[in-house]
Amino acid sequence: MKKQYFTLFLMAALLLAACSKILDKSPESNFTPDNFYRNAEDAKAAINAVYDLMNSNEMYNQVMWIIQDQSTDDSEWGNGRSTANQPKNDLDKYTFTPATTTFQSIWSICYRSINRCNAALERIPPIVMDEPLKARLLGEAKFMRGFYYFTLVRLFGDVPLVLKETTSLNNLQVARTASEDVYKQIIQDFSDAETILPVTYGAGDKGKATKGAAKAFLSKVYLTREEWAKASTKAKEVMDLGAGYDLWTNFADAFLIANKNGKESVFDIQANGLVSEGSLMQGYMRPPFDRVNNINGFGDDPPTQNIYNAYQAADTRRNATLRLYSATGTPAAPAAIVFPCYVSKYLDPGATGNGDGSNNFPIIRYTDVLLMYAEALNEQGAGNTEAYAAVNRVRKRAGLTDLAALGQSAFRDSVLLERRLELAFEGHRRYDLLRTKRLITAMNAQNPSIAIKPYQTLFPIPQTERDVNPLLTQNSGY
Amino acid sequence: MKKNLTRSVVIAIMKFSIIPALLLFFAFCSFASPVNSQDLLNKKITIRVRSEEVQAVLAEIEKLSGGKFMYSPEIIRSTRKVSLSAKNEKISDILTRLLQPLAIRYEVMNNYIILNREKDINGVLLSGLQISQYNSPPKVIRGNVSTASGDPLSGVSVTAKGTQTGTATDARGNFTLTVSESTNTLVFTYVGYQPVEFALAGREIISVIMQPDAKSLGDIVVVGYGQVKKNDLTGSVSTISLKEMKKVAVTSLDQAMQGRAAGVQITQNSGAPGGTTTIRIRGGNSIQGDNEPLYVIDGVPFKNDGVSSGASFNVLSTLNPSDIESISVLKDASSTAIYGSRGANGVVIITTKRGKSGAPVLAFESYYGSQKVRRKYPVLNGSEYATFLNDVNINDGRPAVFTQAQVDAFGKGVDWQDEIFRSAPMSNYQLSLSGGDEKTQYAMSGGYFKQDGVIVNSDFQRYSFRINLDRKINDRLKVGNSLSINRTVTNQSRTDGALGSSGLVTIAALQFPPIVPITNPDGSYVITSPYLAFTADNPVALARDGKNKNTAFRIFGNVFAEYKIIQGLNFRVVVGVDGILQKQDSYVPRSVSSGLSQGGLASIFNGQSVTWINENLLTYNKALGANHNISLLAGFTQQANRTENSSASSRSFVADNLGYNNLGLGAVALIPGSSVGTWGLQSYLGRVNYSFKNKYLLTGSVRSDGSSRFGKNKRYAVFPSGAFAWKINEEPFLKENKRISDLKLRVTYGLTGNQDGIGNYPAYSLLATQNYILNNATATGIGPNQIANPDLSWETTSQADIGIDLGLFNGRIAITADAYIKRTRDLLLNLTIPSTSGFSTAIKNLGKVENKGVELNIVSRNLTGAFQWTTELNISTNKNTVLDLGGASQIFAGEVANIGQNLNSGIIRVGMPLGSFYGYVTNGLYQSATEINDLLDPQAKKPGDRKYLDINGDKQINDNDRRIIGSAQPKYIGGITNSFAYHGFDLSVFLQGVSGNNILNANRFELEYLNGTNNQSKDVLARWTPTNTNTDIPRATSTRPANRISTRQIEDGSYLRLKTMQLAYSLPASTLKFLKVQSVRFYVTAQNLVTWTNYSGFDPEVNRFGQDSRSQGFDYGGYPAAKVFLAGVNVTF
Repeated sequence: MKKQYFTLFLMAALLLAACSKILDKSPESNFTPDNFYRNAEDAKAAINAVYDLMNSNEMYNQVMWIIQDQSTDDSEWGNGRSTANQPKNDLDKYTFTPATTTFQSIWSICYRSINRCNAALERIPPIVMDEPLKARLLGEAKFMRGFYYFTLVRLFGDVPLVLKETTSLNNLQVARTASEDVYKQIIQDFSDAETILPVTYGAGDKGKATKGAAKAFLSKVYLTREEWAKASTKAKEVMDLGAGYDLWTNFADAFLIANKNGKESVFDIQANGLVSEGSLMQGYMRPPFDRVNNINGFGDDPPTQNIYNAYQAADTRRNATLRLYSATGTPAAPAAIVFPCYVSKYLDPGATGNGDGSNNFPIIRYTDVLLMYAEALNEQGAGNTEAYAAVNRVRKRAGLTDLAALGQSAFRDSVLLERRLELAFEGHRRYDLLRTKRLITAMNAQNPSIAIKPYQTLFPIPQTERDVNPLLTQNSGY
Repeated sequence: MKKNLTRSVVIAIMKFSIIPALLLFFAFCSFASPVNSQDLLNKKITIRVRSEEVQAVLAEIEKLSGGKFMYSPEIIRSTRKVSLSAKNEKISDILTRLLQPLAIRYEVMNNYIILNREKDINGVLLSGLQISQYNSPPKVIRGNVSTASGDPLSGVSVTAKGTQTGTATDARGNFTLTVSESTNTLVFTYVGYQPVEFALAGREIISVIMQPDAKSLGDIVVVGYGQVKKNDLTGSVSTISLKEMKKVAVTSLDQAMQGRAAGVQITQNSGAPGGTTTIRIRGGNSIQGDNEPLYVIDGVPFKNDGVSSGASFNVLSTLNPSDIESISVLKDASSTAIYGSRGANGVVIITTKRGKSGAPVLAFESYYGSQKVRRKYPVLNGSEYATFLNDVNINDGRPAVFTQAQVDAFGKGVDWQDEIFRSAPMSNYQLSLSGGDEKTQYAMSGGYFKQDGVIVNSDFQRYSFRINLDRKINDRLKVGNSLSINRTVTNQSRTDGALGSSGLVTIAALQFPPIVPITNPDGSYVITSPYLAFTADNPVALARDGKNKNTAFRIFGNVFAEYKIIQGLNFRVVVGVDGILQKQDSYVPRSVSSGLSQGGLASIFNGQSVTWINENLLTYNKALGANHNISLLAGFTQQANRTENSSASSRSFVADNLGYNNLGLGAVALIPGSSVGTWGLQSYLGRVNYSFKNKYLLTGSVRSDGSSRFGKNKRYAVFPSGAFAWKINEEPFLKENKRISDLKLRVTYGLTGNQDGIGNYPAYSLLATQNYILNNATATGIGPNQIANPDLSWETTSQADIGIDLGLFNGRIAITADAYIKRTRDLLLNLTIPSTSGFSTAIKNLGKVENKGVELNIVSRNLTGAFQWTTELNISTNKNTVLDLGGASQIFAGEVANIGQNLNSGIIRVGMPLGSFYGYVTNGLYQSATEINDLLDPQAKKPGDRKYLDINGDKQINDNDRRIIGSAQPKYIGGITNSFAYHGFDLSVFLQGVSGNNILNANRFELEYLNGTNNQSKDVLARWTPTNTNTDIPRATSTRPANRISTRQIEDGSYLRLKTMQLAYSLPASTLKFLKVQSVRFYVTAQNLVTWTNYSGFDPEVNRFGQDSRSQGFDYGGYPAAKVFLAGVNVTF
């Protein structure tokens, strides 16, 4: 009897002792590089990830508004509004420092995305799959890498050029690369993408980078570098691509949810609030007093009187872009707000939550291509009829009269104004002012009390980055 | 079949695991060599008899075995004949076969086998311990053993002097013992009491009173994988007096431990029912990792971690505090190293009540009480707010909003705090039954506890059930179990949130203007009003309609078997399980702004976590001669966990009333989530205790842990420790000292580890979902998310401790003092890495933290006569210093929020303690335009704006003008209990406090913002005006400068609290006899009766960030603490 107990006892002990796999616990609800990147579906998912962060708060879903609108003459914080958001104030008033968090946000989000591009570019080639599809996917990764570096180089100047996936904690400190070399890589990436990417996608892939988008970006890169001939060539290639790019009859139609990824769209950041991948513009840019479906806005990105007044009364774009409200309206705005106006470009009456707009954020609209073409041609010589045709096509739709017989300089100014009004709050203003070296003048015209120092046209390298990477030098002046 | 199975199992073990196999081999060897007369029965003999008289058979067995039978002839009716055949069988088996049919049982005593009838002459079952002496006729002695105050003492050993005859008292203190006629004296012994020699003088019914042995206050102490006499402790272990602890009405045991043990800092993070606590034993070692102690309940270890907010669900609340038998807190490395990689933060060992042999004891305990908010936050009333609003507008050059008549008409307005606070009942009912016989003991209990929160619509309920069983199968084998099944339902208020976040009940109640009514004329809650600049959350709607419910179901228990291989050598196997099923339901209603903008948001979270554990322990105790005592422990344990979670949510509801009960009603389904986490731990442990002449005690322990969490390169680690104790009072020069009754010096050193708080897969390279939208639909994206660190390993803490235990005046005063120094290295730090890598942080082993401190515990029995007075005092101090941050000089921590300028509220800096606050230093207000011009501060506009110190002297105020402005770490913590007893009355007064810490009262951000959008603290009545300039409250203006984290929000968090005061009356023995009950105790208790503090918030015990060590002492919208009055009764039948 006792012996039996003891045997049972031992058996129980021994059976338990035999569970030796106890220390081999691998993640079950996360992929690891060991069990991913195996087939075409994995490759596609790896590519979808490289687009993902464009639609994050740290980029085009908020931070970019601050960087591109708040820091220009298009938008000004305060003036009767709460000024609690310090980074916004600092970008607005040019009181920022290397520690201002906005810089860290955009810097890290770009590099996070770049690492995803690099991972895709290294992990996809060994996968056995349909080769044309593989080539296209790699083209997309290069396009997006070009996009992120183009963003970085325009905001910060020289930046570290990382082209390999990070897989180890060793050697993480990288020095800055001369912007000239960064641009070389950007042009290389966009050029590779340009040759391989398709003109259009099948229905399921609508929203991905196309050949037209790559060409448009190349045009923009050349424009930024003042390589005018190359810029106009690439813009023209977009126009002649046969991709069906065209303008909607009404300016406002270009921003309708129903017309997403339509004929006027060259490259958009995709959003759909109904599947929890929404855009914030519709909710955040409307003021708290504006309610749609009981959802109040937050009043971000408040437009300046300066841009409102820049529109001619006949310009149909003004009321499609900006909306006034008043202290005597219903509901009433607080009287303290100096210029009660909000951006109405991104309304989504179907949104069911504040952060759930289905509005795409346009990165390149076809009118942008037309205006780039006009600008690049004009820089190569005044009086180019194709340049007039391109800009007047944009003006005509806005209900404005044609431009004619301007000198090179006046044409340049007109195109720039056209870009401001046509592409308002689409993230171009800062870059346009920077490459035309008009940022300081424009800001002073809007609010003379904002004193921009010349070095501030390049943002400082984020302090946090320099703290952990001594190889990073700071832009002069900071 | 069975043989085959056994063999295959043995083979399996050889294959997989060497150490347990060795353990068992050792067991087998010992088994084969009987060294003690007790093992006589195991001797194997061969015998064959046919139809012989019993007596002859016994004689034959005597010959073969070498043992001797003792029996009285009438037991064996000698004419009876039996047959028996056995080949190489154990004597015990043979005897069973031979004697059982004859209704004879046997006992073994030395080399004698004593035979007895199954029942004695009177039909009373003889106890297994009783050995009669048969050379004289027996007599039966009955009696009762109790304390001086009449409480029965159970488990007292009763022996006839000079014999082995003995028994033990039952739960009511009763015993029955059969002794020989010649026995004149009985000896009563009981741990913690002075032995009694009782002269029978012919009596057969006796009553014995035992006096406590002052020398052994605390008696047996439970330590890791065993227990020792307090006298023999070599490490630093605090035991918590359950008697005092039980006087506090608490939801979970961690709350009851507060202020009871030196060196143990317990902070209630939130006043919410079922809210969490933060426990720091001898300070926080880890920055990023877990700092909570390891809990071991009935041998099953678990961590109460992952608490990210003060109002989170507390896993410890799933255990009923009334079921606890003992709590030990292991503090020094010598005590905790046996828990290896989880011992660095200290270990709390809890055992639950087990049955004792004797008649069933039925006990009923109940209390009922009422709670109310300890303190309301003083805010402006209606008229004051209206005046303030007028000021804001006038200062900004606009007309006043209200006429004086309108201002006066507002009167007090709505007191939003009164609207959300209530007087809340709490009640507890517990029924328990325990008892058993010599072989089987049982303890079972059922309880119901309900606590309504002081905020409406918040409460906590617990249904608990426990059964603990012990069964002695035979002399060698004992089996048993512990099992508790509990269900808790917690309705949580939304409190303790991120700075500036919406939807928090308490902060909303402080901010909502008193001039806005609660409801509209149609009965709906007011959301918009001309006096609400932003659509804000109506606090009443938030409190009443918001739902946040946690339902947890926990099964916790183990089964064990203990086998005595030979005398002194025991093998114990435990298999335990801890299963937690949790469901979190929440609904944000459309009646509040944050819910309205989403059309109502409902979510459900389901989690199940199952941990299993197996322990195999071999213990050996042996005295070698008179001077040497040795005990050994060797063990192999393994534990693994699997946690699976899923969540779903939807929004846009037609109506609020179904809440989260039907997610399908939401028009918009949000992306569901699920995850799986697993971890495993495999450990070998060993310990040696050696004592020489009971004067010099040595302890050495070692544990080797393997963890699934770490990199392939660093999976195993070894944690050794050593201790030496010297009982100086045993030395000849002190032995006769009348004053010093006890003096012991302890010195210990060891290494412990920490592996918690970093998730389950920190060493892996992980990919994550990174979706994008294509063609207006979700397109799955997957990409890199975590960088691999194959070298990731434990945090290691080395700790040296020196302590003394001093007993004075025959134990009337007992003092324990300890000093320690702990250094933790290889901290698990989530280090910022260059973002150019594509990652912002990575976990590495970097950095060092030091804690050193002194602890003092004094128990003094001031008066011991009819009027008794005992004082227990503990006080301790700990100094925490960050020594190294892996090269970095500082890391920011705490809160980052818009309303605090997006700057961190805390900093971790080398040379400073964890939990430092970081910000500006305010030095009053600007009084003139000149002053403003002298300093370049973009935030300063006009006189009356807050002024900050230009710390770096560059004439401008910016981020560089910040410095450390306070510390959340207290300098001293402690508690003092005074207990008085007189006849049936006893009174206990317990004070608890901390001193020298700061709290960041972030509520001030909102309540001193002065921009006319929110209600404000009463302090703003003294706001700056051109005529009232001698103040530190800025001017009122709608264009307020941004808020800065500054000394303005840093407050002294010291407090002393009259935590518990209890007056009780126990009915006297005479009444009890009349009522036919064992004991009745009535009591009234007051909790948190008085709190002395300068802190201006709801309560100085607050931790918005829960257990996060980086960001302690942060108050934003905390759940207020309550004052409790209750009355209760305990009855034992």
